[in-house]
Amino acid sequence: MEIKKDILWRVYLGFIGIVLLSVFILGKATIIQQAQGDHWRSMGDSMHQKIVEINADRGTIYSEDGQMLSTSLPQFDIYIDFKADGLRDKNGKIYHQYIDSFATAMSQYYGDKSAKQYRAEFDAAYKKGTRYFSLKKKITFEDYKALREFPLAKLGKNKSGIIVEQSSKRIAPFGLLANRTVGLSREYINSDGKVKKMNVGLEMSYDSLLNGQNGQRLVRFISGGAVPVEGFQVEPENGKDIYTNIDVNMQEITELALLRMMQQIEALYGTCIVMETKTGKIKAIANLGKMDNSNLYWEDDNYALRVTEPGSTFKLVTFMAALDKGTSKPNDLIDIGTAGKMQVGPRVVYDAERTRKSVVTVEEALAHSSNVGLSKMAYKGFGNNPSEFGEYIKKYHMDSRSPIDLTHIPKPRLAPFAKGEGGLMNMITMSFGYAVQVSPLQTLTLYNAVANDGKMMKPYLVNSIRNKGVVIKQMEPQVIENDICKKNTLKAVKESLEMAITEGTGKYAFKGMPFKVAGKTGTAHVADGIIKYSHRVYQASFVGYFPADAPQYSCIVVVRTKPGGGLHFGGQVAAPVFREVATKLYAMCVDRKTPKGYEGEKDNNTYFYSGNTQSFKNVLTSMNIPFVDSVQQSQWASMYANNHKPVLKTNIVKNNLMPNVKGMGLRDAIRLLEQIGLRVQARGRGKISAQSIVPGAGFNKGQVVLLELS
Amino acid sequence: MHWQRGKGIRWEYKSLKSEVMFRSKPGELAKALQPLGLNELEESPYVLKDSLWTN
Repeated sequence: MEIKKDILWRVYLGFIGIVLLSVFILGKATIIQQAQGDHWRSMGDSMHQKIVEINADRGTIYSEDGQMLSTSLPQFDIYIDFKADGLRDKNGKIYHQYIDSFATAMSQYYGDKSAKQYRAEFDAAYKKGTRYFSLKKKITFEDYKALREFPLAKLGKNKSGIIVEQSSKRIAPFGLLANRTVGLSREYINSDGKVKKMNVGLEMSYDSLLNGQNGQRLVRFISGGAVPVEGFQVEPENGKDIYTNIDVNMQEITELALLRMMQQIEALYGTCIVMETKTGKIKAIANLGKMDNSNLYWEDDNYALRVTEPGSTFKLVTFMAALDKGTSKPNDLIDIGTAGKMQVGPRVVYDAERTRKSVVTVEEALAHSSNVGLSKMAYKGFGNNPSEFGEYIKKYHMDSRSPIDLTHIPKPRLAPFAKGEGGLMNMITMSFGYAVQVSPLQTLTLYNAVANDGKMMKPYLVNSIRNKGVVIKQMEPQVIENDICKKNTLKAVKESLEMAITEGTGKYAFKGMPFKVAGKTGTAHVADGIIKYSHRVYQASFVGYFPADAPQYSCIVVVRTKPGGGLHFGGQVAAPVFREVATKLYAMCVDRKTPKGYEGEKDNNTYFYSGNTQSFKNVLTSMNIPFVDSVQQSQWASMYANNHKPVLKTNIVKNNLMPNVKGMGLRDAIRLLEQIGLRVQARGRGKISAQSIVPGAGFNKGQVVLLELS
Repeated sequence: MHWQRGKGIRWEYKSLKSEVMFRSKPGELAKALQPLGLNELEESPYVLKDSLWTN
């Protein structure tokens, strides 16, 4: 019995043990399912479903004729996972089979390493089992497409272990062209570890428009990949496009002309701006700065906006102010002496560029750029009240920031006019362009006002903003000041600026010009920051307009020379650049006669008409002309010839899309277009030959469509 | 996926277009034509006048 009891006791013990264990397991399962259920379930979900951002494309910046100045293109980083299952399966069968031809393909395409070198690198990484072997970085879409077709890569991600990472890169297809003004958009990692954006130029001032709205997509992660969940998607809204006034050809002419001169004299920096006289549109804007210790130049700053002492180009202000006030007349004579210097009021004034005459007229004083002459005019006009000179500076908008559509524009600076602060001295110094700091763009805006018969235009870069090709905002030219000065003053200024070219400081640079130019040279001796007068750094400038008798463009060239002298006069350095730009633009854009192309005889077997279907049918049936009817019930149709027989075909009209109205009569077109919410403007007579919104394009309600009839 | 295909076409268009634009700008054309002996005109333009008929 003892033995039986002993066995039973052990059996019970085992039984109780098993019961306890199962109670524990059941209990734990209940706790996990019931008490902690929500926590674990949500964790499970989050591992399998995720909201993923879809990046919106940044808008493109275009030139006036629709060339891309700055756009976003993808770039790809390619890696290989040498531990990928596909590569390791069956003792690396795929790897050994394809790696040779892959290495050869890489070597042939890129030519940077031999096939052997590639093979050696792959083998080493394969042996080590590298999971993130960097194959190529920042390759273009073209290269990526080619790579996808290589042996091994062709097999796809799982078998080849190739990992592709895509990012977006802002590129300027034209490189240097107007780079600083169009701007940069770069991302960098800040010290706090966040990705930040750094923009300059138009990229900055129009950042909010260029940037789109990112979309979102719900993605379910399952083994081997991710699948978007139907119905849970917010489409990204891409950024708007910006159309500038910049003309790529003019920009290039400007940039090359400036670059050539700057390389020749090893200048420190320079800028050249071309403005359309009537509108104030900036057609070209080049900014070049010297890279350290080389003869290479890059658009490293917007020198067109930087304020510096302008030198003689500022004399226009003195000239206009004295004439407008009436204290000087165009033909008044001024004694400038023969010594090249003279005491004017409180200070001695020196003439940098000497003329042979000792007595000149007021107009000649400006044409020959006499410091003595101009300071005497200023002393006569404003010696008693220097701050009145300040009023004129204000009237010519030389004391405030340029209203151009860019941000971060430096403010011009003026020395004080108050008596206790050397006002008179400052005013006299200012009269020939020192003790004042203005930007080349401001100076150009003033000279352009002279060219534009006294009407000062606001300089502007952006012409329109478009969304998917539809214009959502159109910028119009704006007048800042209707009459910058009196009519008589304007006449004298123009004469004097033309005289500067024919017999003044621009005489040699513009010898033998085929058309009239008006303008002013400027040579300023620079002291600026670490640069002292003794370093002999000069700022050579030329500003003017052409053709002088009917101005179409104004242009300013400003070049800062290297220390130590050498070529430095405005007439030697800046005027030749102006001349090159002006002659090329003249040949290209001004006074151009476009010969009429040959028009062949019309073939009456080819015709194309559009209009109301019923009207077509009425005409054809009443005239007993047989036709092919493939329209049926549609309201609008087009008719063309096929085998000498008219064919009627449906003209598709869809909501919110521009229909094709080519070949229609104006009556039909107006009815159709106004029905769908467009406003029609037409010119010419006959049938419609062109429409300003292309067929199939989107449009906004109330938008104007231009029709051309012929 | 279709949205990726659409992007691919746009990328391709933009890449090609920017390449074409760059190569067809006057400065690049001038460079490309130099080996053929074609150079840019250095002279200033001048206006042609009809000596027989003037208005």
